[in-house]
Amino acid sequence: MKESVEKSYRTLLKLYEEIPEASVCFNITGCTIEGLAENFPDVLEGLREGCARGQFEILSSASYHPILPLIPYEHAVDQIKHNVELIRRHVGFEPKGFFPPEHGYAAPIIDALKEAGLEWFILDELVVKRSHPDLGELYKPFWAIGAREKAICVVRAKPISQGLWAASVGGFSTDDFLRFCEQFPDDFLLVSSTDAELIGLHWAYGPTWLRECLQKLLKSEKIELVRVSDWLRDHPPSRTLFLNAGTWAHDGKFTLWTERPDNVSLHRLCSFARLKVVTAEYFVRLAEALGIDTSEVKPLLKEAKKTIYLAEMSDGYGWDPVPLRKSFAYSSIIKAEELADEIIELVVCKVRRR
Amino acid sequence: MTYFSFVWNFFQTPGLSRDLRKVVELSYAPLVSFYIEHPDYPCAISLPASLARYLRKSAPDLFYDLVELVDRGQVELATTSKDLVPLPIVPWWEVLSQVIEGSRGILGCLGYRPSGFVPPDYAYSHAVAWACAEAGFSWLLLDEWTFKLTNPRWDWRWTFRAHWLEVAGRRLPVLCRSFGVSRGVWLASVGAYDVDKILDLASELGPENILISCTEAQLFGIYWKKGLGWLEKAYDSLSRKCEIVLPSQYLREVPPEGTVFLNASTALPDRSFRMLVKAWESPCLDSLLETPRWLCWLIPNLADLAEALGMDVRETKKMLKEAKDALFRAESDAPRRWDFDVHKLISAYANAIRAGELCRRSMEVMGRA
Repeated sequence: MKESVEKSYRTLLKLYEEIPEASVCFNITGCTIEGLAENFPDVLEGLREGCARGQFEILSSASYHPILPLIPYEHAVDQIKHNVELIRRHVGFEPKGFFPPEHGYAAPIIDALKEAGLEWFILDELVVKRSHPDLGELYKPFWAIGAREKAICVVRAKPISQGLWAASVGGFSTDDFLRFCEQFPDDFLLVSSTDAELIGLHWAYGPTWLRECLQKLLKSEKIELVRVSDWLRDHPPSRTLFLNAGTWAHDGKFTLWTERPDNVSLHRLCSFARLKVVTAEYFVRLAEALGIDTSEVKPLLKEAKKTIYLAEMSDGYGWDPVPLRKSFAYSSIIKAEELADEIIELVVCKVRRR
Repeated sequence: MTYFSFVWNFFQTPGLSRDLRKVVELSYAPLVSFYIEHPDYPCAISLPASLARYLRKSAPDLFYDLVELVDRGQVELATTSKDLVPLPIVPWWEVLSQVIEGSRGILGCLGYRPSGFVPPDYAYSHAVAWACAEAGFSWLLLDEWTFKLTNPRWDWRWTFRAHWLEVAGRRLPVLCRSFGVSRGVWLASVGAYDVDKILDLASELGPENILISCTEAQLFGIYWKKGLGWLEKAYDSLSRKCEIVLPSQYLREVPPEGTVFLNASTALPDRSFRMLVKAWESPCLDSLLETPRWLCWLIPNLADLAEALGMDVRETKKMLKEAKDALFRAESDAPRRWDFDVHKLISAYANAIRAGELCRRSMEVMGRA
C-alpha cells in the first residue's frame, strides 16, 4: 500500500487539485479505507477536500473485495453497508454509486446495493453485451432489474478504460482517447474506469499522460467532464433491462474464481466455515433470547465475521493468486472456524452456568 | 401382449401465473377433456402439489374433471417434488421434505394419495429412492438413460419391466420410461414419428414388458395443435397390439423382478447434473441459497431446544414454514434448465433472499417471545 500511496494516490490527488475543473469519481474499498486511515490519513483528507470542492464523487464497493455473486446475500449486504459506512466516516461523503469488485454481477447485487442506500452501479460493457449483444446506445445508462429492486446501470466503456493500459506501453495516445469520446452525441455518458495504481506506480509517465488528456478533454467543445451522480440527476434513464450474471474476466464468467483446484477447495472450505460462523451466530442469538448476557462473545462474533469476509476476498482466488494470497485465504478460513468453535463453547458454558 | 402406459407430466409451477394460465387453457384443459370424453383410455398424470393447489383455485372446472377421472379409476395420480426441486443437488432433509410434502399436498388437494413419483428432469440419486420409499410411494419412474448409464449391456427386455430399488432397508418398485417412445411423441408433433414405430418396438418385447411414454402435457395445444387427434389414433392402434394400463395395474399383474442399483443421472442433454449446478447463473443461485438452506435446518432445531426450555416459539415456527416455502420455491429447477426464462430466475433470486430474511426474522421473534 505504501508504494501505491506514494506513487499513485497522492500523485492523483495532487494532479486533480491542480485541475479543479476536472470532475472525477473514485471507487474505494473498505479495506483500503481502513489501511489509509491507519497509515496514510492524508490521502483520506485529500479525498475529503476534493469532495468538499464538489470535484470528487466517491463510489462504494464491497469492503473486502469479494466476487459478490459467489458469496451469500447477507455477506454482500454487510460488506456493501460497511463500505458505505467507512466512506461516510472517513471521507464525509454520502456515496450513491457502486463499483462491484471485478464487475462480478448477478441480479441480487442490485437488491444488496439498494439495501445499502446506493442508487447506481457501474458495469463493464462485456457483461452488458453478453446479455444484450445488439444493444444500441450502449453508453446510455439504463435501469437494471434485480431480484426485487432496480437500479441504474452505467456502462464502463472498455476501449477508453483498457486504453489507459495500452497507453502505458505507448499504444494509445491522448488524441486517441479524445477521438473516441468525441464520436458520441451529447446525451451519452462515457465512463473510463481503471486502477488508480496504473497512474504512477505501474506507469511512471502516467501522471503526465493523464494531465495532458484531462486538459484536452476540458478544451473539447463536445466533452464535459462530470461526476456520474450529477449527470444522472439531469439525465434519468428511460430503458429497463435484465442483465445475466457475469464478470469482466476474459470469458465474462466466474471461472477465473471457481475452476482452479485451489479455488474449488477454497470455496468448499469457505462454505463450511461460513456455516459454522452462522451456527455460532445463531447460538448467540438463542442465548440472548434466553436472557443470557452475550456481551463477552459479541466481539468474537464480529471478528469471526470479518475473518470470513477476508477469506472471501477475491485476491486469493483470481487474477494473481500468488501463494501468499492463497495462504491468507486458507488461514482466514481456519481462523474463522476456530473462532466459531470458541463462540459456541463460550455460549454453551454460559447456558450451563445459568 | 406387451403392456403400454401413457404418463403425462403437468409440470408447470405456479409463480408466473400469466404463463401458467396459457398452459392450463391451451394444454391441460383440452387434454383432461379428452380423457373425460374417452373413458376407455387410461393414463397416469403427474403433477406437483403446488400446481394442484393452483388448479383448484384458478381452474376449478379442470380440477374437478381431474378428480372425476381419478374417481373413475381412469387416471392414476403421480406427483413430483413439491416445488419441482432437482432433488439430487439438495440436502437429504430437503429431498424428504419435498417428496413427503408433495404427496401430502396432492392428498390434501385432490383427496387421493398419489401412487407414483416422477422426479423433475428424471434427476435421480439414491436419496430420491430413499425418500420415495419413506413417503410410501408405490412406484418410481426413471428415465431409460438412468438404466443405460448404470449398465449399457442391460437388455431392453430386462430394462422395460419393474424392478426393486433397495435403500437403507426399504424397497420400492422402479419403472423405466422409454426415452425413445417419449421423445417420439414430441417428434410426432412435427410428423417425424408415428405409432407404428411404437408397435415395432413393442413387437420386440415380451408379455411381461411395459413401454411407458412419459411426456410434458403442454406438448398438446401449446406446441402441437392437432396433438389430441394423434393421441386418439395412438390409443386405437396401440390397444390392438398392446394392453394399455395404468402403472399400478401393471405392477399388480407383473410384480417387480430382482433388485437393481442405479447410478445417479438425469434426462437432461448431458445426462449429468452439470447443467443444474454449472449453468450460467447456478453458482450465483447456490451462493444465495447457502445460508437460508442451512438456517432452515438449524433454526427449527434451536426452536425445539428453546421450546424445551419453556419459550413460546409458535411465531418462530410459523415464520420458518414461510421461509421453507420460499426456499423451496427458489430451488425449483426452472432457472437452472436450458429453457429457463428470466422471470423464473428473478423469482428464484427473490425467493432465496426472502427465505434468508424470514429465517433471520424468525429468530428475532423467538428473542421477543
